[in-house]
Amino acid sequence: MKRRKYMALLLALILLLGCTGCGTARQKEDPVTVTLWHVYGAQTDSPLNDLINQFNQTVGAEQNICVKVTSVSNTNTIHEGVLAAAFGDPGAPELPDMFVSYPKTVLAMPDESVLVDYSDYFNEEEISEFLPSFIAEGTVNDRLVVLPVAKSTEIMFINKTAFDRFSAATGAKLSDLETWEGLFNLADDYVAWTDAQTPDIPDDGKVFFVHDYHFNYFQVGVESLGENFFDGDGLAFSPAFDTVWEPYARATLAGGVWLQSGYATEPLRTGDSIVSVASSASVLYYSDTVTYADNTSERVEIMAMPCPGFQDGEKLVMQRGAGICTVKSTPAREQACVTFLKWLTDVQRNVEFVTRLGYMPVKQESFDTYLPTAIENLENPMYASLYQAFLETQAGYEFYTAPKLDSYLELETRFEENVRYALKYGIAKYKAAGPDAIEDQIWATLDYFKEHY
Amino acid sequence: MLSKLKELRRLTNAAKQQGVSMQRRLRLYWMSMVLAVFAALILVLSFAGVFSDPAQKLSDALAIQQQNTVAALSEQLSGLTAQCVALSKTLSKEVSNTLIEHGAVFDDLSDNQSLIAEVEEALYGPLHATLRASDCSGVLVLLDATTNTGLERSQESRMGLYLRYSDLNRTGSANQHLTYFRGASEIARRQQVQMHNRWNLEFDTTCLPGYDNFMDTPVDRLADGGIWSERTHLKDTWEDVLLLYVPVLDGDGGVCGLCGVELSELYFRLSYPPIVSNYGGMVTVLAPLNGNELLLDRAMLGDSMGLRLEPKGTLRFKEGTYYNTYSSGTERYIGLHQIPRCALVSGRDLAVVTLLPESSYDKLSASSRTAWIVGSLAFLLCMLTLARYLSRRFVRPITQSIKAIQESPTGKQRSGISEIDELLAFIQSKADQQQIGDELPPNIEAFFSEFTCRVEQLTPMERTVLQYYIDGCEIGEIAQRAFISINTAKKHNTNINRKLGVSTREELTLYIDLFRRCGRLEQITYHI
Repeated sequence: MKRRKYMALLLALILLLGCTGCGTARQKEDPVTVTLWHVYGAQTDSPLNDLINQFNQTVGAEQNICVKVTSVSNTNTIHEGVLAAAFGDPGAPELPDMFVSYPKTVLAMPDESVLVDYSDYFNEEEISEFLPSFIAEGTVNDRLVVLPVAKSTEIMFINKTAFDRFSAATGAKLSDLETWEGLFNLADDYVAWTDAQTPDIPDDGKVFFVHDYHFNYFQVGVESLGENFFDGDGLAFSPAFDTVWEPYARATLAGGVWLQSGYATEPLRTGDSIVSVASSASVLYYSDTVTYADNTSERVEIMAMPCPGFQDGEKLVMQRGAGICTVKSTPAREQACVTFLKWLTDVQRNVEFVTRLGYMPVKQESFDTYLPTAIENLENPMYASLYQAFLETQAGYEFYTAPKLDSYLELETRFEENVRYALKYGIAKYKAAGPDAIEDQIWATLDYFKEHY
Repeated sequence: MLSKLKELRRLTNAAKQQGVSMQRRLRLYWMSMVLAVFAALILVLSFAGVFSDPAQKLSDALAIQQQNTVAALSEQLSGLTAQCVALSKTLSKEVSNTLIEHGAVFDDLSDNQSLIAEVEEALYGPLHATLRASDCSGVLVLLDATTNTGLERSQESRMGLYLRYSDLNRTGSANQHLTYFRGASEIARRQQVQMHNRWNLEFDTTCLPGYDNFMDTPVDRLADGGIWSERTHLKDTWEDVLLLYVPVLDGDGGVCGLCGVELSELYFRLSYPPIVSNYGGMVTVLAPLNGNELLLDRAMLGDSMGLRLEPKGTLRFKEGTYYNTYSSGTERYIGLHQIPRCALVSGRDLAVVTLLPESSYDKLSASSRTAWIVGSLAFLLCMLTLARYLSRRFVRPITQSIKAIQESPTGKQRSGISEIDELLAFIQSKADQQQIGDELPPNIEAFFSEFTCRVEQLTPMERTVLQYYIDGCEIGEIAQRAFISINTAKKHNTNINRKLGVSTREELTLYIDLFRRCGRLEQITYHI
């Protein structure tokens, strides 16, 4: 009898605790929110933001994960932000859970061990799905810290509408743009032709060509001529460097190459230039409308071609495209980041993602199975042209990956600043000396550059 | 000392032997019972949520946070208005000075590309300085002139400058990157500012909410002319912004343009992080009010980390005693809102809202209730156990005493309870007295024995008649019961009296009564 009483009491207690507990059990836990700094879209409508919304509403909702974008910028800005945060600079923001980065940013960080080694979250089979060269590029000190999500290469973009006008008047051909020598010759012609449009205004010839990274032009150019661009932690300045310098400097001194800072898309947007070499991913930022200084605008056709090479050089092109780093935090947050990244690099979704941004997918199966169909279905002619150029590049070029030097970033930054500064100085000297001084000025400017580098 | 200790010990033993008063024990027992009832009451009230509802505390926490948020936002909004008023004055001077330098008036600006560029160049400095010094994500100036009036869209196209940050931080720094969103491209190049990916030369005024009304409204005081747009999408970008317009006046005091600042959705989110509280993360919202609805699709949302609050739809609110409840249809929130002094182009009020998810509050409330219930249940169980223990201890001496008395009625028993001990002592003294009373004097005993012997010498019929007398029958009734005549009964009566040595019926009755009183009637009873 007594035992029955105790059992009844115990049962009542369990029931009571169960009743009080069940109210809380039904409560939804707060989602694991992870932050992301990315570059896919910069200030424009970002296709990645749309995909993130899709993730949050589907897999994120199921697994209680919320990805929040707290910065969409460009790799340079994010690079500075990441380093400022990593060094704990005054006023610097905290590192986000994920950020887009080149290996050069990781190498410049004071302590790269703050980043997750993806080998801890991806098994060997999963890693083997990625293209091995992309995995190798993201591996720093034997740790896979930069996960490839989209890869790009350097591509040439042409304002074909403007080029056709130039071509009709001068006989310039698109095929001239297949080599650097041909391109820089056209640049000289373009300056002369545009200057001739307004005979009453002297020396108002327009810039023909803009390159996003002059450093890349020299680096790939020298390497394509079979010599080393780098020498240890510095630059080699081999004879091939002079070969690469000559046509470039000639066109620049004549006013045919853009020396202002900023991205290559800017002068094409304002009609100040008509040909550029930039990351394929910049396709998102090219507008099919050019707005001129008098506020008139013109619808133009932007087409893409493979990056030019040197006549005597190997067909080599810079492979670009940052990856995503994950900052170590709690296992739940790290797992949330990895869940999102696995979702983003799913073979089919990755193709959907990259083809909206002008990138290439990162898995072999994506290339083989889904990319051809995606390219066929592209409706925007600019994107269709880009992917045609992509395929031609893949077929005819070797991809060049920049070495992982601790000093790479410093070399690049110094080179970009100094080469523009030297050439601006050279232009001033050339204008003062007159047209006959161009040969001397080309090499004098090179000496000036080497001296100040 | 030793003697004193001995004395103390003696007194303690005496007190122990004296026992505890039953009244004291009962008092303790009832106290535990009262506490048990009290615990049961608490348990019931806990179930009802009377103790665990932290509504008042939540209200206090919300009120404090709301007060802080309103203060911060009011300071930010009014501070930005003040800076824009100062900017407007500076810009008016810069425009006038530039026009004077070129011998032009404001109306000469349109279709004069170089003059527009000169004016914009002059305006860049103050605009840039204001952006660096202000708590905002962008700054703009628009003048009522256009580069090319011959264009079809010239009515909607207006010159001006628009600078924005490309990398927003919670704490602004001098290293933040600018982008050049609107304005002549040569100025961006001269100033070495990166052009926005969606740069354009001029503003499209159709994308500025309330622009036409704003430009047509005469202004007496600049400070009164400041007005905020609702959340609006920045065309071709991924961002939504809130814009402040302050008129830019020409030399005659007429409105010739506007200047202002931008609060982007991301900037607002970074500026107002979630406030961690016991009740969950509180989120700050700046939303236009439409009747009893907050227009979320036109609102700026603070960081809602961990909260699925999207800038979509509306939040219908209902005012409560401690706080308001807000419902989007699918999600419910708890919060407070307040309307600061701030004008919107739509004419609606702008509410500063502090929200937290109702689910977080419910979770806390449920866990608090669980703690109360478990606590009071544990207390109730303790009290019931104590009551059970005390009642057992209370009854044990009584039952032991009863058992001891049953086993040995004359033994000396002590229960440890003074009242019971007194009762036992009384019962034992009575028992002693009775035992003493049961022992008859020797002559009386001999008398009983002799009389019993005489009774045993009676004939069966005579014993039958005697038994009828013992049973209290009269002579007539005896004759009837024994089926004999009255005379025969009298004859047996005479023989009985003779053999027993009594002379009268009364004497015989006296003997019988004596046997009965002494409990010995059985000795003379005859079973018929």
